[in-house]
Amino acid sequence: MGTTYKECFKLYDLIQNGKFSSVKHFISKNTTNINVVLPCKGIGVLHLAVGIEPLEKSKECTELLLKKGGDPNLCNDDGVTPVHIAAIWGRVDNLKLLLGCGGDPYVRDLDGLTAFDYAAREQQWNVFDYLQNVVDESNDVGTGCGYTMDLERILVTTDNMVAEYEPITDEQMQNKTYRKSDMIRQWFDDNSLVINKLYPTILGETYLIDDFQSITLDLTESHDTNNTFRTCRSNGDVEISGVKPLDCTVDKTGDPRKQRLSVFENFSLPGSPNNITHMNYNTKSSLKKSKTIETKEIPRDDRELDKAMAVVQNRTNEFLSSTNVDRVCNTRRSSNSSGVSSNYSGGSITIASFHEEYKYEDKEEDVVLVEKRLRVSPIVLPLEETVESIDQTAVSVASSLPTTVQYDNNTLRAELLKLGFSPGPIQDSTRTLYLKKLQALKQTPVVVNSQGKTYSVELEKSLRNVDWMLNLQQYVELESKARADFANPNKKWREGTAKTSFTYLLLDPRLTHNLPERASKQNQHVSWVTFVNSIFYVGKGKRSRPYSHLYQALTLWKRDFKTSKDKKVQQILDIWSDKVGVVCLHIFQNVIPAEAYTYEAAMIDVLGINNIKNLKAGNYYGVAASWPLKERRLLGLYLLYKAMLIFLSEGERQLRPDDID
Amino acid sequence: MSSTSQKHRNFVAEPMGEKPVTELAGVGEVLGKRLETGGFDKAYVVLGQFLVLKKDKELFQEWMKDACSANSKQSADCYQCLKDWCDEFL
Repeated sequence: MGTTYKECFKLYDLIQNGKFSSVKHFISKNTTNINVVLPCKGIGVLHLAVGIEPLEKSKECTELLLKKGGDPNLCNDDGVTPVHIAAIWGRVDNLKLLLGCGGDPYVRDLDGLTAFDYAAREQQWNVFDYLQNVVDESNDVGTGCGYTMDLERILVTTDNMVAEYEPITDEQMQNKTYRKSDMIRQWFDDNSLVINKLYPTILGETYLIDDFQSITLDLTESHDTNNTFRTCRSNGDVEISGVKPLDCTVDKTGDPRKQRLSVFENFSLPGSPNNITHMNYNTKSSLKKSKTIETKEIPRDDRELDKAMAVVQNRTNEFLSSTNVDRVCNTRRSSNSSGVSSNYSGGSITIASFHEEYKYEDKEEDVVLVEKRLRVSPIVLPLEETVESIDQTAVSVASSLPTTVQYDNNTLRAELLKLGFSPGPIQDSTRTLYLKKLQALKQTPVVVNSQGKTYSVELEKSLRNVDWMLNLQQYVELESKARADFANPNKKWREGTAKTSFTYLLLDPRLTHNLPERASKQNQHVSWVTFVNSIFYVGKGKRSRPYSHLYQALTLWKRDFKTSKDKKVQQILDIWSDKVGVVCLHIFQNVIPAEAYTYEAAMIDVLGINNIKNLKAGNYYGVAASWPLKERRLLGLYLLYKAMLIFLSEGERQLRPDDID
Repeated sequence: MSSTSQKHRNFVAEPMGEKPVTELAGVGEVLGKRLETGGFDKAYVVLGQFLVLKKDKELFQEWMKDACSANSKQSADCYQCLKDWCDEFL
């Protein structure tokens, strides 16, 4: 203990006098607990760091200490925490970090004052506004839209390629009042045709694909559009995927609905994604096409690629055959593990899916997020006859599972393990039992509660029982009862009656795996289980800043924080670290705040506060407040169910900072 | 947990030693007979099966159903009995 104090005193002095570099050096060298209140000084080192001059140094030191595990809620003898100090001295930037790391602005010091009180007393209005806006979402201060949302790019992914399309802003376009989503839809419809044509040429005509051979498709079918697609697979080596300039100028004379899009096609071959480095052969001399359907050669750095050609030539076949094999394997695996035998409808295989990426920008808060929307219905690409037949035979073999007798003990064990069940010794006396178990598991895939979560009774029941979705009458009644009360304008509700609120769920994309896309192919009950398991936060938001609940995490992310004491922020950081975006599901839009709060509370209750990252249970208002717990949970259950339906029809939207890729 | 039967408490109170299978909670004369014909004459043999199934309730109950056509109440009692015994003595 004595040494801890000594070290901390030294650190204290360094922060007060020394340079940032020496503080950094000291911290990296020592592993002392920095969360102590120093005698005589009466504060801890984090208190000091938050409040020192100049601002730059203070910011750096605070960040450093927080990364080192500094506790933003450490009380000194007067009950003052670093959060208080940041509020008193108006250090908004520090405050953002502190709150992001789990600092609590509601903590009272011994005088009974919170950070809010101090901010008001010291007239630190910027701090006060920040607290109001981000932490306490109750006051709708800025009613205007605090954000902008722009289409960034469109991604088309299949197993083997990713194509990226960027919209080009066009002055003319902006004057026209077309809904963006409509335009995109239109664009999809126009272009799915192109992709459909494009893809089989790549996969199907195995022998015709010479690398660097251009395949030119002229599409003059609709709208007099001249699309010229030039495809060439630039490299077959797994490590390199060539990005080649593909020009597609959609001539848009006259028809205002057509957009001009510059296209970069980007093929990456199968293989561990980590190995793929994107090389840009992005020749800037993009070809401005006139209305002629003449194709021009794209200047390419051929010399560099020529060397790879020999390799490529050999690998092409290898690659193509391996993709087929891959698919077969996948099929078999899935039919084995789910037991739902191949309802692989012959004739078409879905492989391409569209993503749209939007850029969300909140200038006031200096926040930029990228929202990736996965389109619900993937494009169905027809495949060549030969490929199909291969697939189908393979499937039929896989689906005719060996009858019970054919299982030897080892296979049986392996099968059970695959389904997430770990069997004991399989002997004559236990064999039939395990066979039965296997059969049962295959018929209804187990509710794998991988997180070891136990939900409320009502939810658990719904997870186990498949049929509850068939009879929703009682739930509907509950909901309409709750809703009717909020429609009464004569009552005085918390935060008024402006219909500007919504409830949101945060889902973990690592668990959903783009559920909306799979949902149509699988049992709805399986979707339900996945959906429930992936929820990690329930909250209430307001329309002016729909993504404000991610701001805290983003503040930390920008500073390279990897840990936070706040569980929700921690989870978001984890998800971002895995290079995916948080799935943010906005539901029950345009309701009054009290209603949103009630729905939030009901869903928290049915999920159980311990299973999600919420800190506290919500509050009920209106008639629901007088209901017994069981009814509230049933309401929550139904709301979750509705949320899932919204999720499935809306598609997955992943939010991530703009610097992840 | 709700109350347990006297038989259950008796069984769980001491090491099972050479107790016959009928001493298990949920196993009466009829089930006992059937188990004996299946070779499960002593309580410890049933315990063996219980352990081989890794104390899995579902599997054990299924086994009871197969081995002596026990109903779910009986098999649940027997399961609980062995489970508590294991918690105590194993």
